[in-house]
Amino acid sequence: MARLEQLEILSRRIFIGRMKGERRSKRRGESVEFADYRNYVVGDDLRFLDWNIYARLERLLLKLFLEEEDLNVSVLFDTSGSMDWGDPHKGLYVKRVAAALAYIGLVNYDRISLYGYSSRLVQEMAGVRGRRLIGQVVTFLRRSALGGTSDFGAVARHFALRHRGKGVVIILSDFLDKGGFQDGLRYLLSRDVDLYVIQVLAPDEIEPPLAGDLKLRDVEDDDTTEISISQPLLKAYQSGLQAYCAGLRDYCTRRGITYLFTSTRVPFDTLVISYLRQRGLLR
Amino acid sequence: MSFLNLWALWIAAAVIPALLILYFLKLRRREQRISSTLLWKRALHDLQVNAPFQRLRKSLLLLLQLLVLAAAILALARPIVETSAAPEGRLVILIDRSASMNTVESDGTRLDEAKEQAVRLVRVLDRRGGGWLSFLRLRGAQARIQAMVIAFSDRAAVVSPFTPNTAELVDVIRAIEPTDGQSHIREALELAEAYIAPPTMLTDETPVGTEEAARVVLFSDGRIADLAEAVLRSGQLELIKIGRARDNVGITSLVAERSYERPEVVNVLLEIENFCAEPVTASVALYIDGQLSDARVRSVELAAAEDSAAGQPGGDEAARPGPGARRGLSFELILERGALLEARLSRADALDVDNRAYAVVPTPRRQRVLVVTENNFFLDSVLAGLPLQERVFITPAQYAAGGAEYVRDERSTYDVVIFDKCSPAALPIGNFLFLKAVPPGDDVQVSAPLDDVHVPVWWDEAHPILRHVPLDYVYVARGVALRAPEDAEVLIEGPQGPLLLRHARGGRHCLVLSFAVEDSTWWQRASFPVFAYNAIRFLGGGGVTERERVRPGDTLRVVLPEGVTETRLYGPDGGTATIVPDASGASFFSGTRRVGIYQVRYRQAGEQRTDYYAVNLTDARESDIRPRGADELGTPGIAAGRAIETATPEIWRWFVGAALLILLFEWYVYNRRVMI
Repeated sequence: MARLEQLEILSRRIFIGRMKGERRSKRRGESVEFADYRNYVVGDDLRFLDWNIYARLERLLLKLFLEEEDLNVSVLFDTSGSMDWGDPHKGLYVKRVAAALAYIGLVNYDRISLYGYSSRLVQEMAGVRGRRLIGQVVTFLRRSALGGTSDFGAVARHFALRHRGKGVVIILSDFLDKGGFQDGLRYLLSRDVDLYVIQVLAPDEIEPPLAGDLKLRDVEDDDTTEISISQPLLKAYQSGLQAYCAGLRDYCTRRGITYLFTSTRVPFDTLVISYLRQRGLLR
Repeated sequence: MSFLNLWALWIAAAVIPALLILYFLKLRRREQRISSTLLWKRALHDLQVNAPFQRLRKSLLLLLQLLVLAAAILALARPIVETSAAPEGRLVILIDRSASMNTVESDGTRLDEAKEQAVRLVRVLDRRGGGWLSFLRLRGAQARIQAMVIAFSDRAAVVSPFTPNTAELVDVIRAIEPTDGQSHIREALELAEAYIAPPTMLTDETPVGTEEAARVVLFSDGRIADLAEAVLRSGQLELIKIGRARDNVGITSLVAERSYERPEVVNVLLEIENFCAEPVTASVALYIDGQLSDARVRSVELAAAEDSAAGQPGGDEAARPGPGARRGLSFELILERGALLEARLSRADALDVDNRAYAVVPTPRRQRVLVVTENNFFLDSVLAGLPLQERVFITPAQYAAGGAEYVRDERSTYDVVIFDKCSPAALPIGNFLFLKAVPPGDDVQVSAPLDDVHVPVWWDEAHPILRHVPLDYVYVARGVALRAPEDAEVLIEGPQGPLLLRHARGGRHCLVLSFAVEDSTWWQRASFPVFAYNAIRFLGGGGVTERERVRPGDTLRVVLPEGVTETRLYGPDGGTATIVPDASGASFFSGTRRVGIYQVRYRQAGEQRTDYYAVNLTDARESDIRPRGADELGTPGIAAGRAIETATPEIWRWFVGAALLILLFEWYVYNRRVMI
């Protein structure tokens, strides 16, 4: 919690820039921000006539303002059993990133929805607006338990069916999902949303500190694999991991999904401040 | 390659299946919780797909461990490189245990080496007999190959007859004791052949030649007197040459004699010979009853021995020394009493037994001689010139009437009695010289009178009685023809029979001359007084010269005074034997195996007395320790055998080293995780 408090200060600086940079509304709206003029046509609201222009030019011009839309930011974070692992802890890391993003969104008056998922959407905090609700967000994140198997495909399908609105969808997960990630991403792509994929892995998963003859037990589904650690096996594991991550990245890049890989060893504030800005999630 | 410890294979039978069982048991793996097995499964799958020889590689550790075990077990089995051909059929092992086999080589004596090689041969035999399956049969069970062992020096002894029991053979070979005897192989070969082909009755049913030929292996240094003539009836004698040393200086002769004229003076003649390739300087010390005085130490320089005779084909003689390699030394001692003489060479060399020689100097004693004659001027004058304590001339009638003065307890009271042309009615125990007369009884008979002039045809120059007695130009005018019994020793042979013979029976030691001195020209020659001197000395001298010539293995003649019935003999090696004299007081002891002083202790008239007998090697052939192999001998019946070195090149160290190396490699493989 202390780290989240600290994060607030860190996020203030981000607030100077604005969230969702390119994402200006196509509609002219009723905001205070002037956008353009256009000729008056019968039927327009007389309130928006620029009387100063009429006084000078005797022409009726209508002031157009930018419509300030609120942005739907959905953060899907993985709460499956595999996230309850690692040193630094993956689940905690993901929650912190989610909290940081939520805070940024709240400060920016975006609509923030947080979903924790494993085999289905297990925790949900939808439609939060306003920075004073950050306490609720943090509480929600703290209370969301880790466990269960992950089924990203089912979750994504469910999510896509429920949420028809536009917006930003950020997925925080390790993507160690035996059901694969392709189906889930395809469901989400079918909605007209900006997708951000952040893959979080623990350092022990990148370079496993294992030796000897082992019986590996999966924390999610109790699946076991017997291995005898050897140099070729470690090499095969690492090349497999790289291939897996590269596959995910390629899949995302090809479909316009922004992909980011991170290890929990990278401090999450560095991730939020530097990496996410580089990737265009933040400005 | 063969193995000494076949029981190690039992260990292999137990350990290797245990290792395999360990491998078949499921590996108890440590459980490790991880976030997801997804990637591991993929990696495992990739690896297995990419490694086609997975199964084989998987068992590399097992293979290495099996190799380590195998190497360790082979090392336990004490593998040896077999360097000698396996014997087949029957085997006769001849082991030379003569004096020269006591030569000290680098480790132990030659006899030790010969025994060790024989044991190895037997061990090889054992393995061959059972083959690879020999560990399945019980110890001592029947083997196909049999062996016998004969140890010989001057006499041969069957140590073990043909037996398949190799354990017993090894024991008896180990138990063979050294002797200081000379070496003669003939008796050993005869024994061996008798055992190889025992005389059998040939009938129609008897299959001829069922007994396969035996292999005869001789372990010797080749210093065997009659080795060149050694011939086997069938097959070859395989000579395995033992020994390399040749560094030896030995005493080849020691004679200690009292001067006949001055009995207190003892002349000691020593002969020392060098058998080394280099000239040596040796000092000789003479001990009298174990005491040494300065005047009796002398230093001699000896030239190097020549090698020519060693390479001489069929050279059964000992190598003749080069000029200066053999030196004679003489000492003159004044000894009023009997003493033990010991000559010692100070130089340490390979053969110790010939560095010492012993002699027994008897107390000075002069003979009492009784001459029974009518009148003989020649005898009187000759005996007057001899250093005798007493000489008494009597007539035959006086002798017959004399009774106890001349004969007491059926023994003659004089040392020597000379009967000149007469003969007593009965002969007491004693020493007698008959001149133209024969002893009473049927042993020596007069066949016919000889009236022709005749000359001695042959005489035994080597006999002590005829030493320095040339009989050339001696004519005999009249005499008698003698008929000698079988066991008589003819010393002078005439045309019609023996002229001089020696005969001993029942303690009566007789020398019979077939003619009277005055009937020949002998009295004119200088050889007659010498003969008289020799004869009286020989008959009455108590075996002074005989005692000095006893070599190891010879029979010792022990003469005991009358009244002594049983006594004990103490050898130089601490052994004792009981001596029972015969009627004449003489006894024979044949156990003279070692060089040294043999003591005979007995009680006479309540007084403990000890007689000494010296046994000396004094044999240049045994002292010449240069080993001769079959090549040097060049005898067709003898082939060179290869030394049995089976036990020496034991190679278990290599297996231990290999096991260690494989273990290191296995450790590396395990740690490098080269394998799954």
